[in-house]
Amino acid sequence: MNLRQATSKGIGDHRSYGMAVISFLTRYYIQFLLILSVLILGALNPYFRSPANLQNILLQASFAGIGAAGMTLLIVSGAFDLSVAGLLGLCGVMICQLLPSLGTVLTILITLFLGVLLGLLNGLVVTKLRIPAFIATLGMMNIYLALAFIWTQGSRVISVSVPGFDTLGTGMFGALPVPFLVMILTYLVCYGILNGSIYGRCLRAVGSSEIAARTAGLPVDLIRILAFAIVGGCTALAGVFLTAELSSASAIMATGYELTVIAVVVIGGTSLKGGEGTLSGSFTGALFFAVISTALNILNVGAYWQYVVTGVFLISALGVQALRTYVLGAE
Amino acid sequence: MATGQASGGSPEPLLSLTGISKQFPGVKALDSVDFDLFPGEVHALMGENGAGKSTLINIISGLLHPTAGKICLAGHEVAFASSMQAQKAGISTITQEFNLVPQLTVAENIFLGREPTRRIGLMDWREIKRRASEILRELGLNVPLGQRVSYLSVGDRQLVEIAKALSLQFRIITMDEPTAALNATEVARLFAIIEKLKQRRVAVLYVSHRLGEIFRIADRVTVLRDGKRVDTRPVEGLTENDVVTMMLGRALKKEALIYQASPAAGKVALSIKSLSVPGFLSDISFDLRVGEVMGCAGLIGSGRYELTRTLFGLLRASGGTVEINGQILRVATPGDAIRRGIYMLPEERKVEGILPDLTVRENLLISAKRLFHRLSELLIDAKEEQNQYERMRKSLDIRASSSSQRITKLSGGNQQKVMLGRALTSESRILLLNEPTRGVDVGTRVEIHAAIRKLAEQGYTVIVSSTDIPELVSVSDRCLVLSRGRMNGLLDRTQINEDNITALGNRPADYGRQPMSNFRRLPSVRTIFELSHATRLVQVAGSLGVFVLLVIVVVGASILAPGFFTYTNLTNTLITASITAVTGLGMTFAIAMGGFDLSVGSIQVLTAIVAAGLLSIVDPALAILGALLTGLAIGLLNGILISKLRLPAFVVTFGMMSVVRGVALLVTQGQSVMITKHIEFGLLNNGKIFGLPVPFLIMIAVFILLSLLLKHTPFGRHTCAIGGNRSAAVASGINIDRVTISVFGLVGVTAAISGVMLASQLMIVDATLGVGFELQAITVSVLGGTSLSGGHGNLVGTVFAALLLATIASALNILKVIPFYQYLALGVLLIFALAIDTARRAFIAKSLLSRA
Repeated sequence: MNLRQATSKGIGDHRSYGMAVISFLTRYYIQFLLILSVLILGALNPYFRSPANLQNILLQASFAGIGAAGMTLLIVSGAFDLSVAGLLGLCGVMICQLLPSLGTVLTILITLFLGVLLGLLNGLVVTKLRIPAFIATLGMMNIYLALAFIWTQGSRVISVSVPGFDTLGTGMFGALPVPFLVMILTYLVCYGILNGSIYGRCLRAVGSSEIAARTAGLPVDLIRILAFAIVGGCTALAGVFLTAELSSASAIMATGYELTVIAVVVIGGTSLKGGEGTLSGSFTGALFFAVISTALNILNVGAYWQYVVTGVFLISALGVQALRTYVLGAE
Repeated sequence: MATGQASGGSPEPLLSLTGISKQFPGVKALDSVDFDLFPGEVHALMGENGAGKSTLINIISGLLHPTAGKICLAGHEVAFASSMQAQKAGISTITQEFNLVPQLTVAENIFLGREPTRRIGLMDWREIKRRASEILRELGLNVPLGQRVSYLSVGDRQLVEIAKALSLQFRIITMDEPTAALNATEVARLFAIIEKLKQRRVAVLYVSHRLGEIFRIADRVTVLRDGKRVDTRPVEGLTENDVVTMMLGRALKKEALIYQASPAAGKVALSIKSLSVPGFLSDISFDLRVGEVMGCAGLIGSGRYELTRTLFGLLRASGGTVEINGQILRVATPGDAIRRGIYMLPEERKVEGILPDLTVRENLLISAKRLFHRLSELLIDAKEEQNQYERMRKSLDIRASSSSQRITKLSGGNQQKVMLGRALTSESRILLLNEPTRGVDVGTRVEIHAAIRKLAEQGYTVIVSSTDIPELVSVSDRCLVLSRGRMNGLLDRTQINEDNITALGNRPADYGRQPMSNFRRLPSVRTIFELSHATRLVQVAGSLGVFVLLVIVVVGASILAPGFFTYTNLTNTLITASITAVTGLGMTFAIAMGGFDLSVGSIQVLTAIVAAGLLSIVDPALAILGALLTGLAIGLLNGILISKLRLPAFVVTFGMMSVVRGVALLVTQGQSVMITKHIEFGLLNNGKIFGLPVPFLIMIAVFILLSLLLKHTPFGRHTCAIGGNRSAAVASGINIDRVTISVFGLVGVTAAISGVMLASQLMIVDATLGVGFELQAITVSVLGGTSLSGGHGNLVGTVFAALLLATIASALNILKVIPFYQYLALGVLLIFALAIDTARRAFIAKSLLSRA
């Protein structure tokens, strides 16, 4: 009786060869960009080619990358978490405080637990108080930052040096840095969750159409809260390794983290609308960002360009997504 | 060509459709339909569900294009590319979802998009009042022009919509089920107005299910059936039976499923006693037996739509009980209902049924039983799922090229089968099917009906809730008929036929009690309708509350913090508040439009740097200009990216936040910029006029300017319209892109003003300033009473909130509380303000539902 039922499409895929090409390009552009940038930079700059540098890229990629794994899942469910920078800072600070007395293993466990707890808190604020996610988490970010500040009585940097812990950041497993290995594991787990579990399907359902998910009987609030908890956990994990690498922590150690992580996810191809996401895209995106920032460093371009570049990449990635949606229509 | 002539009409039809066909994949909605409208006639369009009425209206109003045929308007052939074009041609469509902006007044709504203005660009209220009064007087609508539309009843709102159409001098007005939510008085008033429209030679196309009304108001009636025009006859001389015969006809009966009695129904599966839902249902009682199909009939506003939703946990009942197998059923969510064995097929598949990004298999299995009974089984067993899918596919004959296909690629009929399969995989024995064959082709329709009967045979308990009366006749063992929220009849098999159902559905409930008035569908999520006096107070309380809070905090600070109430401190507090307030006012504007700007902090710092830097080269006036232009440019860029590229506001401004701050860092290379020349620039901060600090006066100036802009210019009204009801704004011809870009440009300018003020205050700036400023700006807007849902902006509240925030910060400073606790306070305050905003909206929505 209305327009809605009228526009259901029939069976059939891309309407033309051109469409298929555009679809392919816009879906895999980040992989192209990564390969392209590595090849070009490697050709131009000998230092870039060196194993030391490549390993460093993998290391740098893992911090944002681990966080991006969780964030991908959250964005698939249709929400965002802007508080991760504060969350990470808070976790880092806690690690430094606890490490001397509690030892490596226990500290890490407690930190992860804190991350999950703070994630749950974020989730509760968003679902139970019904505040839009990005603005609620913006407020929570302030709260976490403030707590970290108070704990460190200013943006005082705390150093920590416990032998076992340090190797987490600087150690190698074969040719790969330990954090990178953990990143691979994290992505495998998250992939399993997103594509191989019922929960992953629930995430996609909620992101695709919250109303329909609710009518299908799914516990939407619970699904959302858990997704926030996952982000909290991933962020805490990233915090562990970042603190280990820096051998120190401060409240503002992760300034701009939320921007980088969201930019990584968006540039990786996950749509902001929710409903579908690509973890391999986020993985590649994290690598790409690390390549770019390393390149900026090597080329002696100031560190300040990072901000500009990240922002521009984010907006460009959004543009590509918009292009994909517009050109391909409602496919 | 149509037969019959309108009463007193000219021989030339105003609108003439010839051979109109509309083909959708799998469905031919219209087949070579001829239709015409004469000026000054009321032409009724009737037909059962799926007959093609809506398609025809959509084609006339420009929403759809015919696949064949010709449309002529006043003798000229036309082809409408959009609904806007049809409107410009003089065709207005009034639907269930009104094209009104609830937050705007009656007068503003009538003239939305074409407001008369005085010379400076301000709204010409006198002219608006004059013309609006004239129109309303004609319509007999005596509602104050300055009344917000959200305070009007549905009936009044409809009349405002008609007033709008009249003022635009539409020649053709289409009304789709206009009396669905009106009481008897309002219906009478509507008909009087339609008479007036006739006198003005306006053609009215009137679509309704209600035979009684057609005979009261229409001159001619056209009946559609299965997409074809059956006949067009003058109403005079017709009987109700004639019309019903035309609507149903013999052709349909051939394709309809012949009812076959199933084995005698078993014990009671569901027992409903005195179920009441405020505003929708009253005192519903019936028993549902195992193995029976209970039909549920009723027009819009009868409660039919709400009954199954209440049983499924989507609506809360206020009275009565539902018992399942003798135990009381308490469902708060659909999950609860599924656990107790009840499943609902939603009425609007596209909106709340399918999960568009998921595959066919996933859509089918999303409610599968193990999800609700065995949480431990969380991993997908692909093979088992495929088997389940196959079984369902075979038994329902779902046509899909593979189970991994996206559900959106299936035809409507197959999608509906998937939905049915979803219900079955949940293994619920009680099924609530809403409009099970809506948007489904004829062949599939019969298959689905057969499936329903088969389910009954297998011992399922089914409610089929539908406005498709032949469908109910085909499948129901018994049939419940609702009208105006009450049960008007419970027919057994021998009594079930189209006539009985239609008659009972049309007549108001005559159970000897007062019929309930003001029935309406669930309000759409976007707009908030009726409010009682109490909730009106809640709205006002928004800004008043902040003021009260401010007074309390100021008093408290004066008492608890020695040194607060000194001239110096008050001045400083005022200055800090002013800097925040200026950007807050801009942000309020953006929120009123339904948008956000997270980059204002970065804009502030960059413009401060620009101002400081320029001061070493040029004089203050130029430096300030340079800063303002910078802010404007960034704001416009935000606006362009958001509107032209259709990117979400918060992410774009989020990215811009980073870019701009990066630029600030680059420009300063991390160094501070000190203002050494033109030190008189500092007067901007330190100067006083009439004892008041200059920043405060700047803030007042911005406040006055923005207030004028928001409330007294078309630009401001359009901003609110976009935030309040975007589609109404579009329909009124407002250029959304232009307004969006302008508003963001405005926000950029206000951020720049704050930047200049900051530079003047500190006299030495660097790129690390202003972090968290956007948070402050948003907080003061929301705290001041501007709702995130958009449509209005509380500028006064923003100012009070900024004063409040500055006061708290000042007091905490004096009390030597560590600054970081202030960050904490800010974060908590924001969450608090947002939670209150949410609570307020929920309260308003709730009070609307309980008003009946």
